[in-house]
Amino acid sequence: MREALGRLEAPDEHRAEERGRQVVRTAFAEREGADLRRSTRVRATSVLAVAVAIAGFALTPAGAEVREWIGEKMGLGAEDAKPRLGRLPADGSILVESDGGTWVVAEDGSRRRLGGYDLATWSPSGMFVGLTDGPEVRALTPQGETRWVHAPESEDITGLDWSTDDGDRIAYVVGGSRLHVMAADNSSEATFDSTVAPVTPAWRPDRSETRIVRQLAYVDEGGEVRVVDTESGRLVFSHRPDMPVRKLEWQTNGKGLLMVARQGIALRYAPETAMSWEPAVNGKRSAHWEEASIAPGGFAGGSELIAAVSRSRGRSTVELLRQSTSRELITIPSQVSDVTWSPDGEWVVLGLEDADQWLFVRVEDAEVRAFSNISDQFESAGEFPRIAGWCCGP
Amino acid sequence: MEAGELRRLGPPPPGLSRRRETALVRAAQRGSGEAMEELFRRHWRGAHRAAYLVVHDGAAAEDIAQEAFISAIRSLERFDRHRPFAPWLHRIVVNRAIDWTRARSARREVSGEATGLLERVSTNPDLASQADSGRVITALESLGPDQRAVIVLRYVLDYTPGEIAEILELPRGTVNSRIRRGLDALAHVVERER
Repeated sequence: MREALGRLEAPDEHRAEERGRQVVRTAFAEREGADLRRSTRVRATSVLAVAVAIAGFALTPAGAEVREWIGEKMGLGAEDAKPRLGRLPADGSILVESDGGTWVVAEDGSRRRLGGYDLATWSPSGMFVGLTDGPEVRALTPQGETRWVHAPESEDITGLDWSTDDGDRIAYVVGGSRLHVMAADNSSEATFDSTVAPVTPAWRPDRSETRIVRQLAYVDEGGEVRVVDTESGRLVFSHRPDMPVRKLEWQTNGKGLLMVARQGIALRYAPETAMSWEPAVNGKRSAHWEEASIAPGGFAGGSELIAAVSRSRGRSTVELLRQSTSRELITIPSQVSDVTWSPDGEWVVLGLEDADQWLFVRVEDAEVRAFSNISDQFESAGEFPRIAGWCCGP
Repeated sequence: MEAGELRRLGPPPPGLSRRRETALVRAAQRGSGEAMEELFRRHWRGAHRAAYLVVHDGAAAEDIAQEAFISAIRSLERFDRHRPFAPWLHRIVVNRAIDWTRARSARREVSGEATGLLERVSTNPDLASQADSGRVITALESLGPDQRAVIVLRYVLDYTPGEIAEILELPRGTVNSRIRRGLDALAHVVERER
């Protein structure tokens, strides 16, 4: 076997090697240039220092003052809070929804506008972007090449999710009430449930070694969270939370389902063998976290770590939760509009609408990198640009 | 290819080669283009062939190997040079190859690469060996991308099951069972093709 495999050559191997050498040589030279251009790195800031800085801080909601606070209190000089997006602190590309269009931000900070779309989602490996434009669903490459367009109904699509792992299914909500499931190659589709709430459905990550599992979590019109096998139609389990859920997100190991409401969040484990649900965030539902996201599972403990945002009197606090423990990552005198993990789980990026900034915060030591003028860079004249996903590192 | 050349595709042997590789990574981190060229020379062929044997598409394999090197270059300053370079690179290659294969499967694309490969193999002088290789590549195509990756890491890049478990972040038992099931499936297909 070993000898037989070893005799095989890839097609055009020698010329491919020479082409690869040229590409790598160029990339390495560009890296050297980028390193030379890079200014002094932002200093690391301890959580304690941030907490001290916060104490007694007068609320200053105006954007300029928030920026000033970030500059003064977090060791970010004016030259460090970059006026334009620069190289991302982790591998992967960021997908951005803005009223100026949908954009892909590459690792080097360069932006590519894909067009004017409503919703966007990455395919699991980042090879495609799923987009909606009114009643249309589209699949594009990150370079902007359209692969297919599908328009099942005349009403607008209000929620979109591309299945994880094998990536061969897409779920979307039409008209705020009809859940459709389609093959990701646009070969077939069907209305799955006609009585759902306008909440983006969430495909359950498939960790089965022996079979393909296609399970989808969604909220029905009565507010019940349902997890259903989309191939058989079987209800795997359901749960009626005591708050209207507006966001669903699975742990990457497929075991826990995070439910986010305006009044709080809850993480519920979803065992295959039982219909019961177990509270997991500090052993109870938290009534003060308003936004949350689960870390990717590609590093130790990632599937169990949640970044949760609470807001109070103009301040936002980001905490890192793991079952019965939590620690504060950062507190900011601004409204954090969304929180997104880097693919390697080492950073979270926070959208700060007041300051018109993105704040990248390293989980390990709360080091901060700030980029300003976000609305302008994504040509938004209205709503603050929203990060629709950060995908996919090596 | 000689049998001895096969071993060069795998991770560098411990000792001097490992220390040499650490020195190369350190030099590349400091900006040495020569060190980067040497790392490329050492690892391109293994990365390219591994990608090809997982995706069975020449153009995609070339893209994946290039992207893996570029990704490694971009991450170079964060790389812990006390860790071996090859498993790091091969992890990127194999994961991207698996992702690509899954995405292709989702698109229901039909690739003609396998046929091209068989034709290529049949023009080599050692006909018996080529026939074996052709059967193996046909058999390899019958496996899923995850199993294919494990077989390639084990039998082309020469990693141990423990090392494969680390590279793919899988339990060792899963790696062992994938190797066993993969070999069983390959043997079955090869036998049927004879």
